Amino acid sequence: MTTISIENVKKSFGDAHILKSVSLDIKHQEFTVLLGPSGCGKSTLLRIIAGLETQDTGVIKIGDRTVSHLPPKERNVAMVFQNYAVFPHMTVFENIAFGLRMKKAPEQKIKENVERTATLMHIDHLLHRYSGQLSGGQRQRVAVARALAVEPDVLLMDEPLSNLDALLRLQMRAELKAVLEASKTTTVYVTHDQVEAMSLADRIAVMNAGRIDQYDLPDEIYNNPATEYVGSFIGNPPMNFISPTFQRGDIPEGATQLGIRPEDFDVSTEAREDYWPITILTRERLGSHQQLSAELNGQLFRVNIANEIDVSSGNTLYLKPKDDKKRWYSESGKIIL
Amino acid sequence: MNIKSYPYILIAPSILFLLAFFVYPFIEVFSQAFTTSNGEITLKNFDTIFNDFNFLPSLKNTLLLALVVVPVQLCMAIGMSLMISKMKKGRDTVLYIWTIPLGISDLAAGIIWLALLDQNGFLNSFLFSVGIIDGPESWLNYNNPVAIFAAIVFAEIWRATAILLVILVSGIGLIPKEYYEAAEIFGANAWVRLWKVTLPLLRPSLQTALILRTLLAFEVFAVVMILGGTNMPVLMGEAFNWAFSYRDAGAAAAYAVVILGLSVAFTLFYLKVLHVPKEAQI
Amino acid sequence: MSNLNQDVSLEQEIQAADNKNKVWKWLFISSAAFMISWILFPIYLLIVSALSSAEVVNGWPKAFVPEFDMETLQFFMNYYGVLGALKNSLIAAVFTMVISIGLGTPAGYALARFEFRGKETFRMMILLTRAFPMPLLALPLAVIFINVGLDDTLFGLSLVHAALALPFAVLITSSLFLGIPVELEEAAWVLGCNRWQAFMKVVMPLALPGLTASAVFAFVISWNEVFAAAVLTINNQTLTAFLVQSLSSSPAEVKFAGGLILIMPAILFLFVVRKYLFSMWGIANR
Ligand SMILES: Nc1ncnc2c1ncn2[C@@H]1O[C@H](COP(=O)(O)OP(=O)(O)O)[C@@H](O)[C@H]1O
Ligand SMILES: [Mg+2]
Repeated sequence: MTTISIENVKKSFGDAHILKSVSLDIKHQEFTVLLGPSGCGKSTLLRIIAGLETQDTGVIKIGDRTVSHLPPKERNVAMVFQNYAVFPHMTVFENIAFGLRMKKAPEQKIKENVERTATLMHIDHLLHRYSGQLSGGQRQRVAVARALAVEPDVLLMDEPLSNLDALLRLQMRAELKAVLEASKTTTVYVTHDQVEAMSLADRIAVMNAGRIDQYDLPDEIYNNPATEYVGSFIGNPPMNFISPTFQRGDIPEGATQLGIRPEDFDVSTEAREDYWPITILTRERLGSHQQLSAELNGQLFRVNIANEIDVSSGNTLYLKPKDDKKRWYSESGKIIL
Repeated sequence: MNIKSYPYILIAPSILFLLAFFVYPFIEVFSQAFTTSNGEITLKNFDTIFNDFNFLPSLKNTLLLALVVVPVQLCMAIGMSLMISKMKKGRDTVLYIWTIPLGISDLAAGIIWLALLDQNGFLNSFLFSVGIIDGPESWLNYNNPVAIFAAIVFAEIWRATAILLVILVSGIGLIPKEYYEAAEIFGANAWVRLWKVTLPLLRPSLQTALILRTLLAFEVFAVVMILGGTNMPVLMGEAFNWAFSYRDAGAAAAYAVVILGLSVAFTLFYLKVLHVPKEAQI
Repeated sequence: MSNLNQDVSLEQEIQAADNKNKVWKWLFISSAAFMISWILFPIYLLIVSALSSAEVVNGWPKAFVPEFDMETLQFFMNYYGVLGALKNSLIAAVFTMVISIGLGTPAGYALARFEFRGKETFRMMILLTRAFPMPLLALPLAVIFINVGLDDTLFGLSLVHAALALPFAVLITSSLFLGIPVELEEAAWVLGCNRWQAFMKVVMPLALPGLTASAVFAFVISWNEVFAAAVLTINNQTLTAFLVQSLSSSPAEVKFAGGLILIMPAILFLFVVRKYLFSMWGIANR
């Protein structure tokens, strides 16, 4: 059983508190994505799990082993770096074999594992090349194969796709998903790309300035953002937060903001009771739907509407949030259930 | 072992070594210069060298040499590095040839120029063959201090422009070419670009280059010994004579203090004059 | 009509610009060529001198082509003290190389890979050494060496030379290591290496060409150094010390042959390290 348990981990660089008491329990064989804007401490947390950085306080367990102060090589983890870190002075074969050689695996096993993982990553025809002779995508594949070849307890990936061009990234994303699902290795994956996170993750941990705001299934993160921050980070465009002066009817106690996704409005071109008359500022056609930004008494609205509704900027449109999609947030930005 | 201690363990050998062979002798120079052999504090050593008839000439020669050589070299190096930056084909070869003198000691450079300028050297042979002179003629003798000085200037320029060149070429390499393109679009011609873009952005490199080169100019020694012999005293040569020929460590140390003082003064001067605030660097 | 005129004047303008370009190009190439010969011609003449017989060297007028006579070089090699001096120069240079690279590499690694208190102070100390005429430090050391029994030894001399070369070694190696992505090392740690193994298996192979270049640089620093060598060695003279101290007594052909021997390894080594020479000074810039 390879779970990862992170308890109360804190980390500062000088005066900067980068991780402020992070706790996380990652389940056996689950694919967890650490999601957050750049600079929020994702890489730092991942590197602490790997043993490349040491936490100031807190405990890291892999399975039932406490690894808090073990060097990386004793944690039985593998890592894929953003710039791949494929050793330039070794062939692809030697790169993939490197970890096994360090563990003094028998030659037979090395050969088997290298060939198996290379085939899995479709680089079995490149085994005798050097990294200088590979494209970015191929290096990426070598880096993943090298990580899988050691059969680690935990696989760590730090923005592994972000150096690839858009098309290749989509393709690799799909492939990675398939490969990692098959390998059943407990995985922690860092990204700032919410689409990548939604599509890959079994579970997403949304990080906000050194804390984890929410750790949950992708759908839950989307539908029930635990904090205003999560709602405004995830979704494109993000969730609307509407002040209670606009509210009629029941407002839960302590609620200061209504959160509603852009697609969760009832829309009308004619005035109706309980509908807000918003003034359209901009309209963008996105093919599958149109995206509006609109305003009412200084409150900004982002709305996704069907292509059929014919409006243009300056027009008035009437909106009402769908009752079952309303989420309420307290003063401190926490969801009220 | 704590990981925090690693860097200290790694730099410790270098630090100890520099303490022993840089800091300690540095202090020792002063103590030798300012004390007698039995440890009393004295200015006697400075008295000795200031009253030596070679002191003022050697000071004058050293400064004059630096004053003539360094600016010429700087202009040459700027020109050459600009040429290098414009070259496409053959850039590496030309750069290699131009920097060959980097590997040549001032002693060897002196010997090379001796072969040219000697009484029966190549220059005279050439002048003879075109009919300007009638036979071997000695330029480098005590009757002719200007010729000796000029010979040393040539040898120094020949030998030590390369060090400036390399520093400036790498400095120019750090300047993104977008700046030139921007300047060009706004109508700056090549001359304006040189004065308004290249040279200002090159200031940190110019500073390094000038400091290094000027200090080396104060250390001039073997070239002078070969081309000028005793006819052209310089500070470093005097220090050598006092240490080696007259066996007077105190006086030699006093010379060393003078040279160190000059070096520090000029370094500070360059640091101040060519100061570029960190924010304003590339 | 006016149209035609315009065309003509435009053509003239293009022609003029073309000519101007040609002049520039010609000027550029000829000044580059001039500077090349300015460097190479004196060296050529030294080679001519060293490859001529003694009579020719001391004769008049001189020919501008070598006779390819080995007499002068042979005479030089057999000249009293030369062989020993040559050997001493080599030994001192190798010592210098070993000491400065041996001590400088770890320090360069520390500067490249660690953040620690005092790092800037250390870097300043290294840079500071370059604001001093280091060979001067041979003067007090000559006195100190007598007391510790290092006087007139090649080891003592190479200690001074290493003090000259060490700052360069530290700066050069630190930039070398900075050029090797730290992730390569981290990847090795994660894959089961301790720090030392990762350094040997990943960093070393990648840094080796650069390390060789800086070792060569240290070698040349020692090989060329005159002042400290002349002050610190008496019976164990290096080649430079020998030549300087026998200036007045040795015949011209010995000087020229000595000059050739002196510059040969330097030129050769420079060729080997030319790729790095540049980046060495590039970083030494900061
Ligand atoms: N070794 C370090 N020294 C100082 N600051 C660091 C170090 N590593 C990371 N940081 C700082 O910590 C913050 C978080 O970094 P990181 O974990 O890499 O963020 P993310 O991966 O989420 O973009 C950044 O502001 C970064 O500058
Ligand atoms: Mg990161």
